[in-house]
Amino acid sequence: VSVSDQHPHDDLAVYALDALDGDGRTALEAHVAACGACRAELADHRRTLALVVREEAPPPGAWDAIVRRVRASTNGHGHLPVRPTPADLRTVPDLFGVGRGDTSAPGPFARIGPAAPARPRNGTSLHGVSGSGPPGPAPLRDLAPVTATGPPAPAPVGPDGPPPAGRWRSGRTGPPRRAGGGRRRALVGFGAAATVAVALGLAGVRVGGSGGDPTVAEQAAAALDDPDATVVALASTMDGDPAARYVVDGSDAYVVVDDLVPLDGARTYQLWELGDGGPTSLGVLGSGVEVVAVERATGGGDLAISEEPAGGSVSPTGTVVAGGLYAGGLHTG
Amino acid sequence: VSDAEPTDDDLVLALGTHSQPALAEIYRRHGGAVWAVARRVCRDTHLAEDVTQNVFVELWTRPERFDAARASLRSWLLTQAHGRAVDLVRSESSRRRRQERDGRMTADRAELETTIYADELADDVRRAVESLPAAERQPILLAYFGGHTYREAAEMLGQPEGTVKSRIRSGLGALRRALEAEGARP
Repeated sequence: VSVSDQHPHDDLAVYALDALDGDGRTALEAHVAACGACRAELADHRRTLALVVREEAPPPGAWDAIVRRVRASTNGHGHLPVRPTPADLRTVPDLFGVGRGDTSAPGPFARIGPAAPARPRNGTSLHGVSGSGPPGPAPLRDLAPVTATGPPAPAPVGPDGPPPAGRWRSGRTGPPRRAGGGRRRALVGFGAAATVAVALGLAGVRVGGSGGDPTVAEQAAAALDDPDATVVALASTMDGDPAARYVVDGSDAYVVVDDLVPLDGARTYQLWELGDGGPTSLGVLGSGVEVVAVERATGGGDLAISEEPAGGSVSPTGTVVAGGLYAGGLHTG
Repeated sequence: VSDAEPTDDDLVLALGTHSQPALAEIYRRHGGAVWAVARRVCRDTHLAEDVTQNVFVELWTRPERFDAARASLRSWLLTQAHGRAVDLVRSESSRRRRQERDGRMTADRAELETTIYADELADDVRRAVESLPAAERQPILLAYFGGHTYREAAEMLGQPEGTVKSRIRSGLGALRRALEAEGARP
C-alpha cells in the first residue's frame, strides 16, 4: 500500500522488526527512501525496540577481535607498515567486505555455546622490563579528583585483554543504568574546556616511512641510537624515577617503557600531549610492557601517561602515572 | 561546560579521523547492547560474536553510513545488529524449516518461544511487554527475538497475515507507552 496519501503504517512496524520479507520489504524500502514521515515513524519504532534490549557483557575477546580486524583492514593496503600499535588505526582504513559469519552453525534454539577461546596478546618487549614494576598501583597524583563519586565501571576481565570497561551490567538483576558523567572528568588544570576535536586527538594522518619489516621494538631501538632523535624522559609521578621514554625520530614516535607497573587486561596506559587546547591522545600504550609506536606530538608542552580503560579514552579519565616536558623540535636527548 | 563528555555523534565524527579511542568509547557505551541483541536472536555465542564484530568493524570502516539526523547511534547500531543476526538465523533455519515445516509452526511452539523471550527481559521491560494482549505480544516477540517473518508468525499463531501485521503495529505503539510508563531508559 504505497499510495502517496496513505502511508504503509503496518508494514513500517513489521519492517522495524526485520520481519518483512520479499517484495513487501523491497516496496517498503523504496517508499521509506522517499518519505520523510515514514522514516520518522520507523525511527520511532526502532527507538522503542532499543529500549527492550537488556545489556550484557560481551565475551572478553570480542573487543580484541574487533581491533585485530580493524588493523587487518589497514594492513591490507600493503604499503603501510605493520605495527602492532593503535597508532596504526589513524591511517586510512581499507574498505573491505564484512563477513556474514558461519551460517552452518546452530539455529534459533541451539544451546548457548562457550565463549571463544582466549587468544594471546601481541606486543613486543624491548628491554625485558616486563614485571619490573612494584606490585600494585600507587598513584601519587590523581588529576581526576572527583572520580570517586562516579559509578564503578565493571570490566569483564579475561586473560586475553578484555574489552574496554563496560557500562553494561554483568549480572541479571538491577535496573539498567546508563553510567554517565560520573566517570569521565576533565583533566583539571590542563585546559578542561578542551574541545572535543582536540580531546579526540585529531592529529594528522600518519603513514610510517619504513617498509614494514623491522618490528616496532627494532624501530624504536634504532631511533634511540639515532643522534638526531629527540628523547623525552617521562618520570614517574610517584617517585620521579624514569618510567618511560618518548622517542621522536623524524616523523615517527615511540614510547619505550622503562618502569611502569604492568596493568591487567582491563586497563591500558595512554599517552597524552597537554597542549593549550587541552589533552590530545598520542596513542594507547597497552598494559605497560610493550614498546609502541605513537603519534608525534605537535608542539612543545607537557606529556603525560595516564591509566585508562582498555582500548583507551577520548580524554584522560584516570590517574597520571608519568610525565615529562617535550621541547618541540629541540634535541633534549 | 568544563567536563563535557563527547556525544555519540562527536565520537562518530572522530572515527572519520581514525581515532581508536573513539571506537573504544562507542564500544563501551553500546557494545553490551549490540552483543545482547545479537545473542538473543542468534542463540549462539559464536554467531553473536561475529555479528558484534561486524557491526563495529563496519562502523569503523564506513562511519558515514550513520546519519545522526535519522537515528541515535545506539538505535542505529542495534538496527544493524538485529538485521545481521536475523539474516544469519534465517539462512540457517530456512533449510531446516523445509524439513520440519509441518511440525514447526504451531501455536504451542509460539507459546513456548514467546515465554522464553519474555523471561529473558529485564524486569521493567518484561512488565511492559506483559501488559500487552497476547495477540500483540506474541508476534512482536516471535519476530524480534525469534527472527521469524510476519508470515511465519501468522502461521504459528493461526491468524491471518494482515491481522498479525496490524497487531504488530498496534503492539509496538502500546509497548512504547508501556515502556515510558515504566520509565525505561536506554
